[in-house]
Amino acid sequence: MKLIGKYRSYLFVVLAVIGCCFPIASQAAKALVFTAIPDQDESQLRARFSTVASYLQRQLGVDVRYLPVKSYGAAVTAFKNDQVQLAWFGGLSGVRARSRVPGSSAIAQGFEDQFFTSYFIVNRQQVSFATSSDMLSTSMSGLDGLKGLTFSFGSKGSTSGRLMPEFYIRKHFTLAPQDVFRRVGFSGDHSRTIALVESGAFQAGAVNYKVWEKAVMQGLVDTEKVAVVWKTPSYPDYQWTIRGDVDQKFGKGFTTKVTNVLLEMSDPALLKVFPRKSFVPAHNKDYESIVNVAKSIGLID
Amino acid sequence: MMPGLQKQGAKKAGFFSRNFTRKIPLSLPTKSTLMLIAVSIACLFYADVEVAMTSPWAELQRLMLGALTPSYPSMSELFQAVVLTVQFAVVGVMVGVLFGFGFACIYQWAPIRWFCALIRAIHELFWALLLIAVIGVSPLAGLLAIAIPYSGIFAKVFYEMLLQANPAPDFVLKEKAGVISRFVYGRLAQMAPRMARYIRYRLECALRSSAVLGFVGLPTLGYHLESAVKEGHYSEAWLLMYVLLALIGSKKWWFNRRTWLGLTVLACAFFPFSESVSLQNLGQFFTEELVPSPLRGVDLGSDPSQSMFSLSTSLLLPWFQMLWVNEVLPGVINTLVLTMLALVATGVCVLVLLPPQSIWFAGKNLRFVGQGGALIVRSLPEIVLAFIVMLLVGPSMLPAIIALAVHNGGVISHLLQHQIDELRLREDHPRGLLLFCYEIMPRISTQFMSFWLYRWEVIMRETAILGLLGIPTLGFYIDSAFEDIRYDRALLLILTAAALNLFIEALSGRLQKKLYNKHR
Amino acid sequence: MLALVDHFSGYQNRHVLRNINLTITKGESVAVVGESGAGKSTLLRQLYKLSPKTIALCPQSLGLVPTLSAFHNIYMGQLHQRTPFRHLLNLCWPQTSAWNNVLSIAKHVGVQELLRQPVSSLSGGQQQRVALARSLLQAQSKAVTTFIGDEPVSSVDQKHGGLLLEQLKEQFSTVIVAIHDRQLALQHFDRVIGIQHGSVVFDELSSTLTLQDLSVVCRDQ
Repeated sequence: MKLIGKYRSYLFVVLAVIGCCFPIASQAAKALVFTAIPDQDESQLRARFSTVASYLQRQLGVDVRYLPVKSYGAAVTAFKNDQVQLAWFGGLSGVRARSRVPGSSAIAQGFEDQFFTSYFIVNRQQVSFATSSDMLSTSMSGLDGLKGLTFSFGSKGSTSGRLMPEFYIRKHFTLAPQDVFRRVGFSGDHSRTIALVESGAFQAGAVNYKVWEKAVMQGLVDTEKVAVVWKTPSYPDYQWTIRGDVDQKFGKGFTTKVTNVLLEMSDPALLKVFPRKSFVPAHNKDYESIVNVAKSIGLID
Repeated sequence: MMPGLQKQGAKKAGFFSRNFTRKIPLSLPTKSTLMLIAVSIACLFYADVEVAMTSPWAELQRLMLGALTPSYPSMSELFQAVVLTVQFAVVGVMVGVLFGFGFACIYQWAPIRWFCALIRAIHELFWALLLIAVIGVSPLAGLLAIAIPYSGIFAKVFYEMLLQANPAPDFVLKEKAGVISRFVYGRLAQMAPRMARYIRYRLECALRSSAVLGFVGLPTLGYHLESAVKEGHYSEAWLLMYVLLALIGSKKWWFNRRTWLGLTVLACAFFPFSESVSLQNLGQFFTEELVPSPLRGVDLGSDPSQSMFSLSTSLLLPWFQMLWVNEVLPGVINTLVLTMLALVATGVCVLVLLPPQSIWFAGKNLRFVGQGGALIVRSLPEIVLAFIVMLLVGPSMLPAIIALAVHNGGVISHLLQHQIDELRLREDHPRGLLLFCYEIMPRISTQFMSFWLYRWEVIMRETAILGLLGIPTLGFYIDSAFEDIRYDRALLLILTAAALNLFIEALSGRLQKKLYNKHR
Repeated sequence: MLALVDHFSGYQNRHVLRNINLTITKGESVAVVGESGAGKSTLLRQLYKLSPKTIALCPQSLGLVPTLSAFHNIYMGQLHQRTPFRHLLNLCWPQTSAWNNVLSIAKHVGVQELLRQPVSSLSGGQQQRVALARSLLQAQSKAVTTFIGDEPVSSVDQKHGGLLLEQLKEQFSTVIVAIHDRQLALQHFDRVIGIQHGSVVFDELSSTLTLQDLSVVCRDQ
C-alpha cells in the first residue's frame, strides 16, 4: 500500500489518460452535414464544396458543413450512420444509401443526370481502332475491339465508371469483365482513369461523360492519345438524397425547404461545382432501373 | 548468390568424381533459404508480373521534378494533418501500452493469448475500415485502429520480456512483499528500460500506420498524400513525404524520457474525441450488418420441421460456397503467392542494400548515401512506395513485390548493418564480394534468418492491404466488400486474412525456435 | 626481409611497443616469447603490416567462420588468388581439384576426417589445426614465403605442436611465431626474441639460450 502512496502522482496521470480515452459521446451542435462522392479531382473537393456549404447555410438558416470522404462506400456509410443528412450521390451509391435508411428520398438531380452516359475510351497508340462515325452510335459494335485489352473501371462503387459499363460489357460479350479483358483494374476516380489510359498503364477504360468533356475542354487530356470508342445508352445518375428524419431534427417542412433551395440554385459558379446546367426534381422511383441493373450483375443483394 | 549454400548431393558428387563423395551437410539457414526460394519459384508461375507502361519516363521525370520542388498550397491544412498524425500515433500507442500491459499480466490464460493473437493479426487499415463502418469517419476510429492491434502486439512482447527477467529478485522478495510490489520491484524494474525502448520503436511504426490511415479517409498525412499521388501532384506528395520522414527521423528529440508524459497528456487533452462519433447504428451493425446476408430477416425458429442448425446451414452453404470460389480462394492464393515472392525479393534487397551501409564495403560518402537510402525506404509506408512503382510499371503484382521488398529490405539491412560493423575479422580477410560471401554472410546467417522470418508475417499483413491498390489479394476483396457495404463478407474475409497471418506467424515461430536452438 | 627501426606503437601516451629495432631475414625461424600483455601480438601485427602480400597470418582468434565447414575455412587461404567466380562456385559446390588440394593440406595437419563439419562443432585444438591448414594453403602461392602465427599451437599438446611447427617450417621459408611453450621455442626455432613491457629484452640464437634464460620473460605455465 505504501508503494501506491509513493506512486500516487503517476497513478493520477494514468487515470487521466484512461479518462481521456473514454469520452462521453457528445453529438456536435445541430448542423446539417452533407457529403459528396469523391468522383474526380479529390484534392479540389473541399474547396469546391465549401462554396456550396455556404450557399446552403445562407438559404436554409442553419449551420451547414461539408464532410469530405475518400470513397463511395464511405459516403454511403456516413449517410447511413447519420453523420451526414444530405448527400450528392451517384446512381448506385444513392440506391445503396436509400435502401439502408428507411424514409430517405432522392430530392433533386442534375438536368444532365436524367440522360447520363458513360464513355469507353482507349489509348490510340496501343490499340488501333477504325475511326468511323458509327463509333458513337448506340449499336454495340464499338465494344468488339476491347476484347483482350487491359481495362480500368473508375471507383468500384461508381455508376458511370463501373455499374453501367460492366452491365453493357456483360450484355455484349455475355461474359464477366474478368473474362473479357486481360486485366481489370479500378482506378478510384474518373480523372485517374483518363490519366491511366493516356499513360498506357491501361489500354482502355470507362468514364463519366461529364468528367471526360470537362477534361477535354480544359485541355487536360490529349485527344491524339486517347479516343472515345463507344458511349452507353442513357441512364439516370447523380442525385441529392436526404434522410427521412431531418424534419424531426430541423423542423417541419425542412425537406421541402432543402429541395427548393437546391432546385433554385442558379449561380453558374455554384452549378459549375457539380458541374450541371441546373437541378430538376427527382424521386426514388426514377432509379428503379439502376436497382435492377445492380441486382442483375450482383452488386446489390 | 547465397553464401553458405553448401549444396552437395551424394548423387551429384558422382558427376565430378565417382569414387569419392564430397557431401557437405547443409546448414539450417541454408536449408530453409533453399526451401523458401524453391517455393517462391513455384509461385512465380502463378504470379501476375507484367510491365504495362509504355512511356514511364515522362511520369518519372515529373516525379523527380516534384522531389526537387516540394510545395503545399495550404499550410494550415498541412499543420492539422501533422498534428492529427502525431496524435493518433501517440495516443494510440499509449492506449495500446496500457491494455497491452494489462493483457501481458494475464497472458498465461489461453483465451487471452488467442484474443491478442487475433487482434494483432488484423491490419490497422482493416481495423480502421471496420471501425469507420461502425462509428463513422471519426478520429476515435483512427485512434482505436492503432490502439487495438498494438495492444495485441504489446501484450505478447511485454509478456515475453517479463518472462526473460531474471527471477532471482522476485524469488528473494517472496514471502516478504505483496504481489504488486514484488512484481514492480522484482520483474518490472528490471525490464522497464527494454520496454521503454520497445515503446519508442513502436511509436515509429505507429507514425507510419497513422499516416496510412489517411488512405481510408481519416485526415492524417496519408489522406492528402494519397490524393496527391493519385492525381499526380508530385510536389505536394513529396512535401508530405518529407514531412513524414522528418517526423519519424526527429522522433528521438520530441519523444523521449522527458517529453513523453507531457506529450501524451497534451495529445489526449486536445484529441477531438467527440467529433462526429455516431453510436446509433452500433446495435444494427452487430445484429444485422454482420449477419451473413442469407440469414438476415429469416426467423430460424419458425419452421418446426427443420432444426435451426440444418436450416441455417442450408441457407449459408451456397452463400459460403459462392464466396469461397469467387473471393476467398483466389484471394488466399494471390496473397500467399505475393507474400512468398516479396519475401524472397526482400532477401535479395537486403543483400543489395547491406554492403553500401557497412564499413567493410563502403567509404564514408557511399555509406552516407547507403544509410540515407535505407532510411528513406524504411520510413515510407509500403503502400506509398507501391503506388509510386505502380505509376511507373503499371498495375500488376510487380509494384507490390518491389515495394514490399525494398521497404522490408531497408528495415532488415539497417538492423544487420550494426551487427556486421561490430564483427572482428582476421587481418588478412578477403575483400569485396569474397569478403561478403565467405566471411560476412556465413557469420550473420542465423541472425539474418531470424529477422527475415519475423518479417514474413509482417509482409503477409502488408500484402493484404496492398490489395487496396487493385492487386486481387484478400485485401482487394475486403476493400470491395466495404465499398459494396457488405460487412458480412468483409468480416469473413478479414477473419480469413487473420487466420492466414496466424498460420504464417506459427510457422515462422517454429522455424525461428529451431534456428535458435541449433545456434546455441 | 622484415625490419622495424626505432619502432613505437600504441595509443597516445601508452606505448604498447617501445623503441623496437628488429630485422628478420629470409630463411629464419623466430619464436617470440613473453607474458600475456607484453606486446607480442602487437609486434606480430606490425611485422605483418610491413608486407602483407608475402605473409600468411594466423591470428590468436584464428578468424575462422564458425558456420562454414572446415573445407571452406581451409579453402579461404586461396581467396587471394585466381578469379572470384571460381571461389563462389567452390562456396556452393566444391570442385574436385579444390577438394583434393584442401584434402592433401588437411592430411598434413590431421583434420582430413573433419572437412565436412562446420567449424563451430570442432574442438579448440581442431580449430587451430584448421586455421593452420588455411595458412599452409597460402604457401602454395609463390608470393607467400613467410608465416606469422600468434600462439598457433597453444591448444595442441606439446608433441603434436612440435610436428605442426615442423610442417610450417617445411612450407614457409620464414616462420615467426609467438609462443608460450619455452621448450617448443628452444627446440624448433633458430632464434628467440624475448619481449617485456613492449621492449625487446633479448634476441639470441636458440642454441645459445637455456630454459632458464627464457623464464626471465616467460613464467612457468
